[in-house]
Amino acid sequence: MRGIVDIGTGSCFAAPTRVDYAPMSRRSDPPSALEARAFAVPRQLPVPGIIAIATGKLTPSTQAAQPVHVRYLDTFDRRLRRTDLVLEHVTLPGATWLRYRAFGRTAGLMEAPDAPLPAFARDVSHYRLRSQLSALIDVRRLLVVAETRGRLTVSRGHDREGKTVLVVECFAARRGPYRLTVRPLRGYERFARHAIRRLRDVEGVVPDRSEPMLAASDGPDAALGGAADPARVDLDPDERADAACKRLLAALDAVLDVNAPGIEADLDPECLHDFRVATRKARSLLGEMKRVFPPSVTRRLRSDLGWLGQCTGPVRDLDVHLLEFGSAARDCEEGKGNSAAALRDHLAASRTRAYRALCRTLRSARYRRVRSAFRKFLESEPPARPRSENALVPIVALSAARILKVYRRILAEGRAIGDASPPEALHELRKSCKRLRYLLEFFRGIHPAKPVERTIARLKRLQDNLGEFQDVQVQRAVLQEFRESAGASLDAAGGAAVDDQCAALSERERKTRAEFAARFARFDSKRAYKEFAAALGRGRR
Amino acid sequence: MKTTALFSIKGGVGKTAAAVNLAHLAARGGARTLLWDLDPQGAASFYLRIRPKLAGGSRRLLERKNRLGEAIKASDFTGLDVIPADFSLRRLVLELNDLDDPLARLRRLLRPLRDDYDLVFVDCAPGVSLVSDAVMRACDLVLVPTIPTTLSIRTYAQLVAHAREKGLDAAIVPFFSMVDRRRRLHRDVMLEFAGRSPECSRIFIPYATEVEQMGPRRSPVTAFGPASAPARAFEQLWSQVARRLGADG
Repeated sequence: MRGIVDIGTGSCFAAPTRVDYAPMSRRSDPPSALEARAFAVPRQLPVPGIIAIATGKLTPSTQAAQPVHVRYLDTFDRRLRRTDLVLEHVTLPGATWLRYRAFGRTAGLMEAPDAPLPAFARDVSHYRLRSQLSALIDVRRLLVVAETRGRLTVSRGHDREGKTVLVVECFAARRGPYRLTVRPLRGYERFARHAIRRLRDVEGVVPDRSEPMLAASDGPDAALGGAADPARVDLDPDERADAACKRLLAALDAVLDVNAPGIEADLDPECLHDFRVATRKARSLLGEMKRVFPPSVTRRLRSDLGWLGQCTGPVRDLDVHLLEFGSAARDCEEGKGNSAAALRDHLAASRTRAYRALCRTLRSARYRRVRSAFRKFLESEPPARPRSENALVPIVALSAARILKVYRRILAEGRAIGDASPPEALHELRKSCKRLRYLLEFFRGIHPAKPVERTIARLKRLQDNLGEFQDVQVQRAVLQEFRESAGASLDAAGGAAVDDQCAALSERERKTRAEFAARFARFDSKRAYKEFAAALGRGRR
Repeated sequence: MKTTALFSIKGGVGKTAAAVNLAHLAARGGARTLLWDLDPQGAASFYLRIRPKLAGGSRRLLERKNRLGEAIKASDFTGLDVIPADFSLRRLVLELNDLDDPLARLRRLLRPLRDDYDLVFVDCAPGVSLVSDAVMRACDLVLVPTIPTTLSIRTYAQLVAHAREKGLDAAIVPFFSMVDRRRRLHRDVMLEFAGRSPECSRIFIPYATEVEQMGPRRSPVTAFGPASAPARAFEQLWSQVARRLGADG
């Protein structure tokens, strides 16, 4: 009887668990045959009267107007806004929900009732919404970028069964007209159709197709971040190289601007990540575009950017380790002694120290000097008669030559790697691949699209292998360092667990290394290189 | 889209209560859920306040492609839609019998909805018939609420034998329903049955007035009494069903 009785005592049921039904799709809610409609209602018209017109002969149940707080959520880099999506969190006394909808549309793509304000996609209990958000924003934090307060009156029209067949909402902001929304329900669209027709006949009531988020005031996090996308710099193929490079660097500088406040507020690990990527890309661009700027300028800027990269490196590494080991630890907590918790504590403590140091750097005079020197360089007009020999070369020609040169270097470096080559050789190749990837991404708009995309896809497969090899090595080094520093604080099971993890990482490292030859062989195609070079040549002409 | 039927040869075992509560929990978790009330008594429709009426009755449902989609009604719960019952469903056996390949018919009717829903729960009428065979053919999982009494267990055995004979390959999972643990007979039957039937769910739904309250309140117990013992039992059962459907998916 044990198995059954244990489960059956009402008081000892486990707390409700979040059920993840795996094959559930990410699709939107099933659409109603009629979309929700919004109307602007002049303030002088009485709300109860307008609602009564909308519900018609249906038996209405109208809640008294309640204070409502609508928060519009987005990431620091405005990923939702950039994809024309809106995520709104609505709070009424005793009720909260999330509505996910297309920008400018009234109908929700998805609605999640009983939803507390989420900080990350993973906090959303509604499976489909969580999946969609995760795909879009990954691990980025959701910020309150806009908000609006007012009073909401919700009226439901019921049929004879007491079933809700029509929902009418009236939102009264502090100023401006009321926004009345008629929400149809599937199978009962005719009631909404009648309501819409009746409302259209009321003098002064007009359809409202505006986006409510635009009328909302700034949220507490509005000042943080913004949309900065360096991939969107439109280059002119014949533009002189120094001007084109400056524009690319300016876009990257904007990414630094957008993310710096987020780093200082420790808002989201991705702020630091994006900051670092922008730094690396800017440094790489300056290094690859030889003789475009005076050597002394290039050297100084590269050194400054390198310093920024070094300052931000430790925190980022620890963020990644916390993410990696945190989830791994959750998966194998049982029977692993205190190693998982101890490792997390060790990493968290190291991260706190590194983060404090980073904040000091971001507030330092040197940081201000570095950023202002970079900005000054970007704002200066390109000289009419530059001394640097490549400054006036059309960017399409210069970038094509550089891309092909780095491509050839990768082929040479990769071919020189054998089974006995040291890990450093793979590390160097990984860096060269990264350089090529950045170049391709910077200049994809001025070269033939298909060959560039195809090369990026082939390169990515090689980079995945090299990246995993590097990650595994770093993780193993972190674990070994932890094993040594933790010493007696680890119990026997914990020590054994760390050894097991190290062994598992070594095995993964061996497998990844063994896979390299095949991955590189797929990338190392003379024909693919020739076709790519020809395509870039054609683009240049 | 995965389809789960709540079915039993015996009546009054808690099929409808289970169908309504499981569908409500699935929708609450974010799945786009459809509850198909195939029982002419229309109890599931009643619980969700939906008029048990299909325009054109069951015949029109079978005749026209996409008719099922037109019959769908939104419930008062986000994410949960319903195909209401109709008294004409009592003739469904005869109407199915007139058609070619009647066993595949319900599956074919559901096919156009596969992009709109993640989960379909079918609340079946009691008894073995062509309809129940067609439901079992259309479903990925058949949940069989079983009262822990000798006769209920016997009808479960009959159902399994029938499915095997007809080659209906849906997974059949019994679970105990309306359990009164004060009764020795219930305890003994559960112990004995669970011992010899590994497929039996370890979750059971207790006999509780909250489930009876679904009638006057016309709402799932998981909505009006989420902390009650039956609501928590349904949550556990849904958790198990979701995992099972997920593993199969």
